Formats: sequence, structure tokens, C-alpha cells
Amino acid sequence: MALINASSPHIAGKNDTGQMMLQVLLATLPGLLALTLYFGWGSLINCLIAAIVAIGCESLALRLRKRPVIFFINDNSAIVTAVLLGLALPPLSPWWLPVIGTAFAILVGKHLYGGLGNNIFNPAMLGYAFLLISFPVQMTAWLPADGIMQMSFIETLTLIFNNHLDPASVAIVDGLSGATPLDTLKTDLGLSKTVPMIYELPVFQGFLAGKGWEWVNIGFLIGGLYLVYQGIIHWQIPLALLLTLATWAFLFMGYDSDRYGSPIFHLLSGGTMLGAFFIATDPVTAATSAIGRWIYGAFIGLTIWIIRSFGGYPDAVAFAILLMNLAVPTIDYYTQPRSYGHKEAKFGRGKRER
Amino acid sequence: MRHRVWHLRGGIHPPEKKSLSLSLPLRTASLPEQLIVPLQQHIGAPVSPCVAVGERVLKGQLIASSDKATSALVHAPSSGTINEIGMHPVIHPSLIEQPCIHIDCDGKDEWIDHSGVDNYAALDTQTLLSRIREAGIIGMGGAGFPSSIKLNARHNQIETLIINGAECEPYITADDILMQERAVEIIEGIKVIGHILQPKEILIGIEDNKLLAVAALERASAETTIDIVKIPTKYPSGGEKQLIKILTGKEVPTGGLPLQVGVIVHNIGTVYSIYKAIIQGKPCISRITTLTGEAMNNRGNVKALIGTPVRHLLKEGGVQESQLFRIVAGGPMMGFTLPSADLPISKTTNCLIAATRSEMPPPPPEQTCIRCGQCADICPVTLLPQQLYFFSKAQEFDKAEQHNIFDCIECGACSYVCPSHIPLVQYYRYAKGTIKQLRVKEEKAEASRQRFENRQARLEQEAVEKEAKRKARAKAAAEKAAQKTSAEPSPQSAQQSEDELARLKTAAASTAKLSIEAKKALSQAEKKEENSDKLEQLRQKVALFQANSDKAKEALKAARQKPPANTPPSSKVGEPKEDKAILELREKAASTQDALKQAKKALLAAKTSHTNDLEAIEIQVNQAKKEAGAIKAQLREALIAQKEIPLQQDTPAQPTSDTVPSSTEASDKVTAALARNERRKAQKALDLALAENKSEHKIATLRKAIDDAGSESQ
Amino acid sequence: MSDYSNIIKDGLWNKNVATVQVLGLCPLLAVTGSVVNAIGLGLATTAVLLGSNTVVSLIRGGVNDAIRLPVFVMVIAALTTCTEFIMQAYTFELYQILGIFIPLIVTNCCILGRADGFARKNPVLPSILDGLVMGLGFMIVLILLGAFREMLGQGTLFSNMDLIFGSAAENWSIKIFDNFPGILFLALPPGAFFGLGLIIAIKNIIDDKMDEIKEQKASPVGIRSKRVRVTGHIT
Repeated sequence: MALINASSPHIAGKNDTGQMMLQVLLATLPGLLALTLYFGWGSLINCLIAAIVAIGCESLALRLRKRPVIFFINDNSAIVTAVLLGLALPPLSPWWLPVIGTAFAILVGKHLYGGLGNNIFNPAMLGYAFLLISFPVQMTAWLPADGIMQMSFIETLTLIFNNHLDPASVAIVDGLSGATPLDTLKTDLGLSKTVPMIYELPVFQGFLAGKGWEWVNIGFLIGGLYLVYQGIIHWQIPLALLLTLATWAFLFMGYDSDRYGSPIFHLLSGGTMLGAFFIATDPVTAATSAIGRWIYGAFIGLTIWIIRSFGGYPDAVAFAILLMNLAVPTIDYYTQPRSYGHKEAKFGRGKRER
Repeated sequence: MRHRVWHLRGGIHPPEKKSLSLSLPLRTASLPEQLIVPLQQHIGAPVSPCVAVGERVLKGQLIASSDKATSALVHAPSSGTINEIGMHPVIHPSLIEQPCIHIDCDGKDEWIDHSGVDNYAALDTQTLLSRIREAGIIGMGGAGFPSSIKLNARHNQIETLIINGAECEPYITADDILMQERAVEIIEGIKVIGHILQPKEILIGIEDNKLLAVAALERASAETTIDIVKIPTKYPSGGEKQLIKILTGKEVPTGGLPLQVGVIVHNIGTVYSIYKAIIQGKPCISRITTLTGEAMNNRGNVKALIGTPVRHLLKEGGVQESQLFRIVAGGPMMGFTLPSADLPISKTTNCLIAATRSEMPPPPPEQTCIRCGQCADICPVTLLPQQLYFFSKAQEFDKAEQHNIFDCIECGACSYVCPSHIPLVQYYRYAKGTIKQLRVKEEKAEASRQRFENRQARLEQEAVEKEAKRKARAKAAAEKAAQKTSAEPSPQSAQQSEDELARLKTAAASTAKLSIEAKKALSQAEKKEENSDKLEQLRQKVALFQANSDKAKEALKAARQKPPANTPPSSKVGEPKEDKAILELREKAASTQDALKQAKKALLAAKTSHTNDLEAIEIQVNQAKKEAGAIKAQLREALIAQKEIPLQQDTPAQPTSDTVPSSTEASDKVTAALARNERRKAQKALDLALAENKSEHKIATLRKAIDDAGSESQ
Repeated sequence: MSDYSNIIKDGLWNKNVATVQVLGLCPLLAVTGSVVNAIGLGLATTAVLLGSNTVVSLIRGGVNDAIRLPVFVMVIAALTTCTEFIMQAYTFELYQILGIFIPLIVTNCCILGRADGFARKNPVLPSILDGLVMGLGFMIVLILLGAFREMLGQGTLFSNMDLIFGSAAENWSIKIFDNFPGILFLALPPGAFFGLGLIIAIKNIIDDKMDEIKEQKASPVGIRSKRVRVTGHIT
């Protein structure tokens, strides 16, 4: 009898990291569908380019760190980072934009910190912030929501790959690009228009919020709810985030409705739902305990609102999440749960100087 | 009556797989050929065998016992002959070898005479407890704690008695079948325990996947106050602390016992054993074990004798050896693998799983922790397993302790849900073990540090006391000297002369020290064979220091022998001049003692450097000795005289040592004693000289010394 | 002589101010946006370092230990002011571009560090060499970083070199790509941190490789190495 010697437990659940990541990818599909339907093929192509570059960079980094490559690639985390970054980029961005962004995200944002599980900042958001600061022009060249038929697949591909070489293509892209609802709101508020006036603009002619953008956000909302149902993400973070964002927007809209957007507008514009369900809930960079998650999500929501209303950038999800990622160790320090048999929760890390 | 059930946080729902072993009713396992009965199945003091090899024992006969209360006695599970009493590996994760008694069964299964009690309620608690102890009953839920101790609680201390019928681990159905088929006996056993403990309420907690057991127990307990409480099926709601929380809402304080919240928990199997012990008089020699796993064909529950080899039970269950991949003793969540089937089962082996490869595949490789937090979601103790994992891996044990690693019950739920397949429980076991080892080391270090400090304190104390005594003596001497001199210039001059004396003393001491050091340096240099210039230098130094030292000593001697400061005519009346004389004698004795020491030292030096005038120096030594001895004798006489003769007040002070009046008898005695001493010493020296074969001349000298001493003593 | 070669090696590589001691980061991050700025500040820093090392070494016997730091800072401040005036006179546009970072050379920790750590304890010639070499080492890193940031941040190299080298250097500028969008991130201070990190990493890689080679040379694995026996016959 060749019996093996193993330690308890001898049975294991069905959870698997690779499977979890695949589920997350699955959940992005509704949002991706909405993006494609309203803004063309660009986002899909961006995601593909980013995914390929991500796998390449991850293999390179793993080889440099002398780790088994296939084993680590199989946890699918690089692809998820790439897709999330690709979803955040403008549809017609030149090909080198997702390339540089993904390379930065994987190599600097993930592997320089020690690989999966050891990074402090969300790699996709780090890549996005890097791109936003480095190439402000290209990163703000969004398309108007004219539907998928505004450009064929081949045309889109050509534009993306020729974007920086051919002046004609550059002119086409320049001609096509328009601002997002958030962008418009910020610029026009700066031009002393009031919010009700701004809402008359064509870009806002969706039935709830910005045209096209509302469906994108609803798509991500559906995907996020699926993840909550499957138990892959914790519901406290998105709920806290959305609740805080809506509450502050509501309060300030009540205070001065000429200068502040409505809660529905904030919830369904820009990257709110993507950030709430897919990026803020990234387990590696989020807080650990239940109370910690509430605090984390709430402060992200607050920061999003503050930067959108008073800050220099139109969309704030990336920066808000990066800022709160910084705060996660402190949140963990103070929010340990109370264990069975103890009267109250401990806090701190229990170093020698007790 | 519906009893309230509290919610237990966390927990998992692994596939139960209990139906695998519930298709057949309870059967008795066949008698094995040999029983290997382990003697240490319990937590507590060890027992020692009370039978010998070759002896025939009957079923239920006591084969190992001990007087200690924390021990659990062992009885022969079947009749047969004692084959061997020795070490054998037992069922334990470490495969440790423990003392076991091997019994060759003779197949007759003959019971020893035994009888139960008719009315247990008539017996008092201590009798019942001693019966339980004599029956060797231990906690059969897995811990193995002697039940008689657990039941030994003060009256009015127990509010709730909980019987653990939860059996939350997958695969195990031993308690289930026991509850289904022996419900009446179990209720009787519970009543016995209730009589011992007198709790306010008795609850039986059963998971709601055991409906047949619930029904059977409800029927059996219909007339009693025992509550059957159904609890939601969740792993690990059968853990002692978790069950207490579910049934009473109370939490056992960390590091504490359920007794602190007024609860006692017993396993169903233990209860059944107590029934058999009290009502039927049978000791604990068998238990229900679930034989399950997909590599077995005749899965089910068997009543197995303690000490049955696992191999026999596997055969009983119809195991297919080609399929067998893993044998687990216990449940799949907290049990451990057996590397071989030749181990005996003990009183706490509740399940044997014969698993195939597909059923319990080898663990997949560990991936990185993605901090998903699922482990923290299901932890029944509300710990933060991923933090504990990080700290254990990085060996930051103080942080792990601060995160309550010692509250972990090692249920394995966190490892079960981890998507990265990290063996979390192993990390915690490693951390706990290492922390305990470090604690032991720290305690040892602390104890030795304490011993060291105590010793230092003691030495310091002694030094202080010595110093105090010396000061007191000096003070007394100074006072006496001051008393002798008058009030006028004498206090000052007495003080002066004292100061002078002190100064001379220190001068003498320091110069002596310098000279000794110089001599040492010289001898070292000579040993090292330095160049001659250096040696010459050192020698000069030695000579110089020696001269200084001698001068200082002379001055000191002179000062000591100087008459003390002028006594004014109006000297204080009542000053016994004996004191003065005695003081002088003391000083003389001190100086002669010094001289003796010097002479001895010179002798030693001469001996080691093999000079020629050894004998002359020896003569010097002897003379000095005589002088010192004589002075000592006089001093002693003077002291004795002082005590016996009344004080004389008028005679002027006279600095002499010879005219000290003495009472003849006493002085004679003293002289005689001193002389005898001298003779003894001389005799010793003579013997030594003879042994060392010294020169004739020397021996003659010594003989003469003896004669002298002898004549003196007459 | 070996002392001098050690000083040179330390200054340029082993104890390089920017990559090993990691001092003087403030000017390093702020002025390495282009090569010409880097050269300008590097030269200024080297000049001050050279001068301060010399002076401190000359006066080292007479300075009381308790007040040596204020004294050294005064020396450095005087020299910095001189350098500032020179730059104001001869390279006015560069002076304006560098702005406040020229006076801030006083606070550059490497200058005070070398004064207190080396010039105070060593005679004049070694101190001069040390100052020169440390300054050169710093300047080299500045130039590398400047080149990196200029190339990737603006797409040019050696632009505006005439600010230092006069009108002959006007056409030294190289354009890497046309229509290069320029990675703005690298033109900002975070990019400088990033670039410095990369340079330090490359230096560490080179160091490790050199150590490996040294180890290989020190104990080569011989194919036919003899084992010496202590007892018995040695054949």
C-alpha cells in the first residue's frame, strides 16, 4: 500500500484563483458590450492589445525573477489587469498607449513590488494614472456616443495603429473626438454655465445621465452584482462607495444645484461602476476586515466626489482609488475584528514595544 | 420546547458524504487475532501495567493502572494471553511509539465478573466518579481528557450540561448511529451525569442533517427535562467552544475553560460509556468507529475493540488495496493520515477513511495569497487568517500572537476555502510550536538571570555587612584609644596619631602592593625571556619598590609600638590599664603575625626558586612562629585575666608586655594548650619533612622544636 | 598612489554621490530635465565642491571641533556665491533657467558631507582630488539622467547646449523622433525618481556581475587539482 502522508484538511473547496479571475473577466462583458455598442470597436481592440502585452511582460518579469512562468500565468491576474486598463482607455487611443500603460502596470505596478499579492497599488490604476499624466492629449480624446456603426472594425484598427504616423489619421481622430459628460461638465462650469444649462447639451441626452455612458455604467453594475452573487467580491466596498458618492452629491446638489451634478449623474458617469465593482474591490489592494472595507469604500466615494467637483481632472476614480490604497495599511492597523473569547478587538501589529 | 439557537459566525458547508456509511446498521467487528492496547490514550498522568507477559487476562480485566487522578485506567478488550509489553507506534500525527500491551486473543471473549449499580441515584458523587475513573472513561470526542476529572465540578457551578451530538465533520457517522440505535441508553447515561453535576438545564445539540437521531432521542427523552436542540448543519459547529456559543450564546474566554461560563460539554460516545460503566459495570473497552471512504466496499459503522489494528478494520470494511491512496484517522478536516495500517485504534479513533486518489487527491501547489479575505469570512473564531499566514511565514511571531493565533482551533476551514490552495493550518501549527519553544527558552533564560541577580545581591550584602563590622570594630578601637588619652591635647594628638597610623598603614599597603606587582612583572618577563635590558629595568624597579615597602612597614611598626599620646594627670578614673596593655599586646601580636607571614612568604619564594639558604630561612620562620605564638599566649592570658581580676585603677601605664599579671591557673592552662598546639604543629612539620626526605639537619631541627614545645607544655 | 586611485574609484563608482550615497537629490530631481541643465548644475556643484574641499583641508588644523560645521557651511556659502556670480556673468540664460537651484548648492548634503567626512581629515592634494572626482561622479549621473529624461520626455537630445558652450553648440541638438508626444511623466519630478531608480538598478546589476566575475577568478574550479595528503607518502 503506497499511502501518502499529508496534513489536514484532506479535502478542499472548489475555489481557485484562476477561476475567480476568469469570473471577473466574464463579469466585465456587459460593460464591454455597452462600450462597443456605443463607442465602436476601439475598446475591444485596446483590451486585446493590453492582454497580449500583459502576458508578455508577466512572462518576462517571472523569468527575470526566476519563477515558474506557466504556473504563475495561469492565475490569470495579468489578463484581468490588462482588460481593466483597456476598458479605461479612450477607444481610439494609439496602439502604443495600452502597450506603455500595461507594461508600466505589470512591470512597475506589480512585479517591482513583489508580484501578485504584494503590490500596494492597484496595477491597472497605476498604469492609467501614468498614462493620464504622461499623455494628457491622447488620454482625453474620447469619442461621442454615436454607436458602433460610426466606424468599421478595419477602420478602427487602421486608425489605432497609424495614429501617430499619418497626419491624416491624426486629423481624423482629432475631428472625431469629443469630451465625456464629466469633462463637459467641468469645462462648462469653468465657463460659468449652470448645471441645468449644461444638461441641455447633446452629450447629456441619455435617459438618465450622459448618452451612452449610462449604459456602460449599467453594464458594469450588472457585472458587479453578478460577482457579488458569486461571492467573489465583498459587497461592502461597492455599497459604501456608491452610497457615499450619492450622499455627498445629493447634499451638495441640495446646497447649490447650479454648480454640482446630481447623484444619478455621478453614479452613472465616467468610471464609477467600473471602479466600484472591479477596481476598488481588487482583493490585493483593498482593506481586510469588514469595518475596514466600509471605511475604505466610503472614503473612495468621498474622494471621487471631491476631485470631480473641485479637482483638476474630470474623472477621479483612478486617483481616489490610488489614494485610498495608500491608506489601507493604516485602516487594517485599526480595524481588527474582535475574536471569539476576547472582550474587545485589539489593534496594532503587536510589535515588541508593547 | 424549542430552545433558542444562536448564530455561529463563519463556517463552511463541505459535502457531507455521510450517506456513504449509513446504509448498513451498526455491526460488531470480528475479533482480531491480536490486540495492541496503547496505555497512553488520554491526556494526563501515565499508567503502568499491572499484568505480566504470559498471564491470561479476561475481557474487562484491569491491565494498567495508576494512582494519580489524571490517569485513565486501561482494561483488556478481550480475553487472551499477554504476549508482549513494549513500545509500539500508535495513531498520532508524529507516529510516536508508546507503551502498549499486546494481547493474543483466544477467541473466547470471556468477560470478567462485573456488575453495575441498581440505583445510581443512591450513590454519592465521589463513588460514582471513582467508578467512572476505574472504568477508564476518557473524552471520546477526540481530546481524551479523563472524564472523572471533568465531571468533578462543584455544585451550583454548572448551569448547562451540553451533550455534543453535532458530529459536524463530513464522513463521520459514529455518533449518529449510536444516537439512532442506543437512544435509551444514552438518555440513561445523561441522567447519571445530570445526577453528578446537578445542572440547571441539559441540552443535546444535534445537527439538522441527523433527523433519525433526533427522533430517536426525542422519543427516549420524552419524560425527562432533557432538551434536544437542532442546530443548523455547518462545519465546525461541533467544536466545543462553537457549540457552547450556538446553544447558550456565551463565549468561553480566551485561554479559559467552559467551566468558567458554567457549561460542561460531553460527547455522546462518552455518555454511552458512562452508562455502560455505571449501569452495566463494563469498563471502556470498545467504541463505535465509522469505516468509510470510496476505497472500501462494506462501509458502515462497527463496534470495534480498543487496540484492534487498523488493518483488521480495513479488511472488515472490505478495502480495495489497489485503490487505497490515503488512510485518514478522524475526519477529513481535522484528522491525520496514517502511513501504515499496522497501528491500533484507541478510545478516541472515531473514524477511518480509506480514500482513493480521486476522492482525496494530493494537495495542489501553493500559490500566492491574493488577500481575497474568504478565510477571514468563514473563520469560526473571527481571526484574520491571512494576516496570521503572513506573520507565520515571515516568522514574526510576536505579531502572530497579537493577532490571537493561539485562539485558532485548527478546524481547517480556512485552508478549505483558500483559492490559492495555501496550507494555512500547517503554517499556524508551525508558528504555535515555535512560539511555545521560544517561550520555554525565555523562561529558562529568565530563571538563570534571576539566579545570577540573587547571587550578586547576596555577595553585595555580605560585602556590606563585612564593611559595617569592620567599621564598627575600628570605631570601637578608636573609642577605646580616645578613652585612654585625656581631653586636652590628647584628643587632637590622639586623632593625629590615629591619622598618622592610618596614613602609614595605607602607605605600607600600597607600597607592598606595588612591590608585589613589580615582582610579578619581573617573573613574567623572565618567563617570557625578554631582553636583558628590560629585565634589568624590572629588577631595579622591584628593588626600589621593595625598599619603599620595607620602609613603610618599618614606619608602621614604629608607629604602632610608639606609646600613645600623652595622658594628662587627670586621667579618667576607672580606666583599666589592662585594656591598654591588652591593646598593646594586640598590636604586638599583629606585628609579630605580620613578621611571621613575611617569613613564610620568603620561605615559599625561596622554595620555588630553589635557593640554598633554605634552612636558614626555615629557622627564621620557626623563630617568628615562636614569637607570634608567645605573644598570642600572653594576649590570651591578659584577656582571661581581665575577666577574672577586678579592675585596678592606680597603676600608671607601662608599655611592657611582660608584667601583665595573670592568674596562674588559667594562664597555666592556656600556656599548656598553646604548647600542645605548638608541639602538634612541629610534629606535623616533622612528618612532612620525613615524608619529603628532607636533609638530616632539618629533621634534627624539627625534632628539637618538638622537644621544646613538649618542655613548654610541662 | 594607491590612495589616489582609491579616491578616484570611490568618487566615480563605489561611493558615487547620487547612486550610492543618494545625496543631493533635490537638484538632481529638479534640474535634470535636459542635458544642458544637468551639465550646468553639475559643473557648478563640482566647482563648489572642489573649492570647499581645498579650503577646508587647508584650514582643518585651526578649526575647533565643536564649531566646525558652521564654519564649513560659511566656506561653502562663500564659494557658492562666487559661483553664482560667475554664472550670472557668463551664462546668464542658464543662470535664469536654473534659478534657485544655484544658491541651493549650499544645502547639497554631498558638499558638506565630503567636507566633514574627508577634507577635514586629509591633506590638501587628496582633498582636491576627492572634490573633483565626487563632483564628476555627481555630474555624470546628472547628465545620464538628463539625457534619459530629455530623450523620452521631450524627444530631443543636447538641445540648447549653446547656453553653456557658446554659439558654436547651437546645432548640437538631435531630434529623436518627429511628432514625439513626449512622456510628460518623465519630464516631471516623479520621472526623475524613476530614472534615478533605474540608474541605481543598472549600477547594482553591474556591481553584482563584477563580483561574480571576481569570485570566479579567485577560486576557479580546477579540473586536475591535487589533494594534499597530510599523512603517508606524497607521491
